[in-house]
Amino acid sequence: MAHNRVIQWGAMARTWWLYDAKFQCPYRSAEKLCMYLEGRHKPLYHPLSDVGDHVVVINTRYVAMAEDLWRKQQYKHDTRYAGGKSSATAWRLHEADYTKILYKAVYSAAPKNLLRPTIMRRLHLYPEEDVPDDIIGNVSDVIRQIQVVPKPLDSYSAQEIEEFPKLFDWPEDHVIYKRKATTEKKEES
Amino acid sequence: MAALQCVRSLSKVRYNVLHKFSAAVMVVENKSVRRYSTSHQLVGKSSNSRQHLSYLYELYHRRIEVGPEKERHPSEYGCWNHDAEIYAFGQRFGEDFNDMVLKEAFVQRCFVEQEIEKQKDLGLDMEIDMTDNEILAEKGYSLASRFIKAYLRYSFPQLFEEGISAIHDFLLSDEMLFHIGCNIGLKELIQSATYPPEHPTYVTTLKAVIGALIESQNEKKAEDFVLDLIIPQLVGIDVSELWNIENPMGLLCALLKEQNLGEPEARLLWSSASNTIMPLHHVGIYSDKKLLGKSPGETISIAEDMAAREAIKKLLNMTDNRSPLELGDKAKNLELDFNKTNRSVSELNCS
Repeated sequence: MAHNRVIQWGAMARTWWLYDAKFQCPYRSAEKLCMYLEGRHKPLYHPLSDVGDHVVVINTRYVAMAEDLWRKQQYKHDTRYAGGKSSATAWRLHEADYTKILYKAVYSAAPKNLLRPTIMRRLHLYPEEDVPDDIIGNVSDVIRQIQVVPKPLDSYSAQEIEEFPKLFDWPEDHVIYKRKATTEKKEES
Repeated sequence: MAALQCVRSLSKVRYNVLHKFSAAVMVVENKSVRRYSTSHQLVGKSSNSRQHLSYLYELYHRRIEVGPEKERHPSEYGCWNHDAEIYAFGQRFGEDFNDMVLKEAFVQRCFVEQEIEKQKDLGLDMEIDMTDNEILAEKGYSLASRFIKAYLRYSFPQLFEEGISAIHDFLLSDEMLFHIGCNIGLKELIQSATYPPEHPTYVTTLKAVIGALIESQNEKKAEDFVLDLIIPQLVGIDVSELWNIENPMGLLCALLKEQNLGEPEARLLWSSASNTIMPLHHVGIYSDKKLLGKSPGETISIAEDMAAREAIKKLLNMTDNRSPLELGDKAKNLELDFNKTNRSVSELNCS
């Protein structure tokens, strides 16, 4: 009996979404994640009702900042004691905790009311791709990334580079600036 | 001032009343009195007087002690013409009732017994020429039942007889008839030993009114009455939920086998939040790789059960997007077959 009951259960159930933050702008991602966390994508949405979904974000370590923001964006903190004010650049905050940048971005994009703490609890941030089984087991759908993930030059094989159409060859005595290998590469090697 | 002097000799309460009236009178400078025709000045002022407050307090608590006023029949207030009211009742429906028969439809057995008792107490040995409405009610009920079943069979030709009788029982249940009876103004017209009348008397009276219509006019008119008053109660009701299917998967198997379709196959379409206390699973029922019905549910077994019901609804042409019931003028000239019965579930299993 009561097919309407299960229909309602289906309408009110909280869906779990997966978002891959790899090479994504944290601030613009946060706006999109907030839409799902608040439930703004649902027809039954109302700003005073708590109808949001859960979002699991992976690869928060690899978020991408535009321009010089890693150096220039300041994250301020105040302990409210004398001399308690401090500020850290984005890259330092990111080094301290790889999920902090995205957390703060979502926190400031979320509505500034008493629903914000509950909304933030439905955001599950993981720096890498390894998510506990009991969390990833809930996920049923994926949120589309907002930016196209660029393919780094390192990932092209020598043959692909060779086959890439060229208009001219550099003269043999031309000096080309060579990029230094990243620290990660060094660790691996 | 002369008026006020008179007033002083009156009691306190009277004084208050007069005080209100005196507010409506104003002495103008040329000593002529102007009387205002507005009534807002007559509205009682709120009083801060301690005496008056304690008086109201006393009244309030006495009222609570005595309890609410007993509900009385309008005839007890002395302005009631029973015959006229009964005639008006018939006219409200636009039906041409025989007044004597319609009057009989409102007489309960308990009322007749009470009248006989009264006569005995008075020591009168007169015969009371009164018949109660039970024969009319029986007639009315059998007509309503027959018509509703025929109408439902016409509207849901694929539905099993069990489903038809479930909807029929819902329409002719005591609660439903009481609900209808309450809302067509039977309350004051019913002649029963108690007032307000008890719930079952509404039910018998409504049935008897249908019976009275058969007696006064013909069966067709009575059927139209049922069509206009009882059947519209299905509007907004999920008809397929009135029939509780015991074993939906078994019934679905039998239905598919009869139509030479493949065995039903339940598949998990998608699920969410499966490790939490509020999981959601969507299950679809497939037959020959075609989706028959799908449904959400908190467990896979509930979702499967519901999906099977959805599939049965689809096979019986009872889906939610079916065309609405034919009611009103459209349904006045339906060609109903009163002898036809839909097949029952037991027949299906045997074949």
